[in-house]
Amino acid sequence: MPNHEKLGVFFGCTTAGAPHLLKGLENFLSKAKIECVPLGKDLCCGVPLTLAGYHDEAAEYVKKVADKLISTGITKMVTSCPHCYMMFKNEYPEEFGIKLPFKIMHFVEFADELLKSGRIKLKNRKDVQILYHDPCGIGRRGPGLYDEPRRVLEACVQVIEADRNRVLGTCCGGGGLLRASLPKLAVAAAKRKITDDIMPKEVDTIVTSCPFCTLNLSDGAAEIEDKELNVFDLPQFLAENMEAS
Amino acid sequence: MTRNTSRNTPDTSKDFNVYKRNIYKALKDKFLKTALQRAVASFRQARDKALAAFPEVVEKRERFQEIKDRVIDDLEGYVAKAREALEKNHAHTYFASDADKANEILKEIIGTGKMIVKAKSITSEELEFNKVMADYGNTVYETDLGEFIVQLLGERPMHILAPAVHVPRERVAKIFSEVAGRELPADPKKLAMFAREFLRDKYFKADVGFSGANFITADTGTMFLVENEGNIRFATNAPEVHVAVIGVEKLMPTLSDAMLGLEVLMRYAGYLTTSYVSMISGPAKTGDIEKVVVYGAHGPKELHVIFLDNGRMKAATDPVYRDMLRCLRCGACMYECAIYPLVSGHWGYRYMGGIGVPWTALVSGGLQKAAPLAYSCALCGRCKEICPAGIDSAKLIERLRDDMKKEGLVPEFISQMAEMVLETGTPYPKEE
Ligand code: SF4
Repeated sequence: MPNHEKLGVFFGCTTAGAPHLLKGLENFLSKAKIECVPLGKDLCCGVPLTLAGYHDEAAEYVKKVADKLISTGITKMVTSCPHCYMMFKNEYPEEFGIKLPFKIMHFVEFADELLKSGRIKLKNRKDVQILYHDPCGIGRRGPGLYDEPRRVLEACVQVIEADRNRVLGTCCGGGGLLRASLPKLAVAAAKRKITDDIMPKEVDTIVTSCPFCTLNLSDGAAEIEDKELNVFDLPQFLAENMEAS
Repeated sequence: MTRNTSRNTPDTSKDFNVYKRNIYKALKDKFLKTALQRAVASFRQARDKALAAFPEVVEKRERFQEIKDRVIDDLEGYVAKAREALEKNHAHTYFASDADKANEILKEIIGTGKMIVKAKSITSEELEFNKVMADYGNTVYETDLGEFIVQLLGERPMHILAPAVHVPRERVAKIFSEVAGRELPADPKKLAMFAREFLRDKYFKADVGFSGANFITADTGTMFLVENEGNIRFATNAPEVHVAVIGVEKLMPTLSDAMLGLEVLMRYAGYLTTSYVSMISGPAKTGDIEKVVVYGAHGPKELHVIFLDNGRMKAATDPVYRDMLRCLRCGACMYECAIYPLVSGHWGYRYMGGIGVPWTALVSGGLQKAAPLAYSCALCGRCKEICPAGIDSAKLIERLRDDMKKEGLVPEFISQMAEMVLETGTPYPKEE
């Protein structure tokens, strides 16, 4: 890491609010020996406001968030949540006229970089097959970060593709505040997504890179009676599958 | 200070709770689940086949979008042109600013004590055509098989292309048996034959045939009616009078533009081709006896075309909402949605699914009716990738939520969550 770089990691309220996701990301950071300013554990990026219909009210709020982030003096910020990512990267400048003076990256890009530069090493577990679920936030609603997470995962396990993936990947149902407005509908969508994507019988693990997808797919998986399925957020999965550095 | 304005109107929570109960009930409906699973699978297969056979349609859809955008820029102008062309063809034309106006015009044309055979038309749902006509002393027969089933069951259509998508064959057999007064087997073929037999003489006895249209051209005033069953041909051809109510967004500049739209519609709806496309530009006429033109040769003597605005013109002036007017009603977005196949048209009012949300809000239903629907979308955006008209429904829905906020229509727990973010900086209650 260049000397002048000061890294911030924006946990986001959904990751911070789910103990296993929080721990996953923290473990990853400590195992990879990443020095960073932890951010966003009790500070929401404001995306629930814009999704709820509170665009006008959000203007003042996001300004405050931006000021707090800027005051830390970070030069780069990694978010694990695609919604936070798109909020900071797109909505802040485009909707609210706030250009954040640091680089914004999603965790999949960050992990890809760390792997390329050799700063993290993953265990060889090529006997394990996982299915990767594309979150819409960094996919078709975002810049299309499809290759980064796959590159990272392929360094460790075998990645199985869903019947529909990448730009046409089936939504898990966890976005758009649906988990708040109609939680059973959201979970039913996750269940359908899993059964519809024709998961090969031997695959019992889904990895994704969004806390909403992780939580919603886990809830959907729990409703599938005849199969044990594990769902991981990427930081969580990597933390468990890293060689000690 | 601004915070206090965000309180909900008292009805909002009640509306939402009623809606939620209904959605959760639909989630448990095993019949619905099976029917939709089958429908989605066969749609995907059919559409993939159609797109593979006509790969150029992908490029054509872009041209279609450009053409449609031109029309949306000047709906008024295109309506005027189409009316002029139709009048030249000896059709009568009307403009209805809203559903009530359209119904007044319809009552005037059709009168009372008449028998009407009706082609499937979602636009007619905006008018509550069947109810209005029945109340006015007329008898309406839905002739599309799916609509016929739905009409007999006293339900509402659950998909724009397959209105009875939610009804398993056993239920169809039951209701048809009641009408027939004899036991009919739960065999789709036999059931279709019964409908054919039952409806056949209605076409010839009917006074009026009613239809919508998939396209109507401004240069020649030609409406395109796309179908497979053949009921539209009968309904628009056998009676002496044909009345069509057409949303102004169905306009296309020229005949060849409409042809292009037709190709796009068919392939994205999953057809290599449909069995029939009727093109109607005026009443039937002949000049075979001494070149004297006589109207009503074999087909209808009169053609009446009502152009319906009902909120469309206003939507056209909004930079975000205008896109909804490009919709071809191919149904692709519903089949490919992560949510719609779980609950079908229960997520909707007259218009359904994601694209149905802006249509409900701005054309048929209103903002309040649309509010629970707007918060049923996961905003994943796959429909935009699939839609031949390139409509980003998620974007429209997000914008609608802002409008709903202004009217106090945000569901309670969503507004609570938002208020919490504003007050505490996080949407989740803090554990101390
Ligand atoms: S929104 Fe697009 S995909 Fe959906 S029915 Fe309309 S044209 Fe078809």
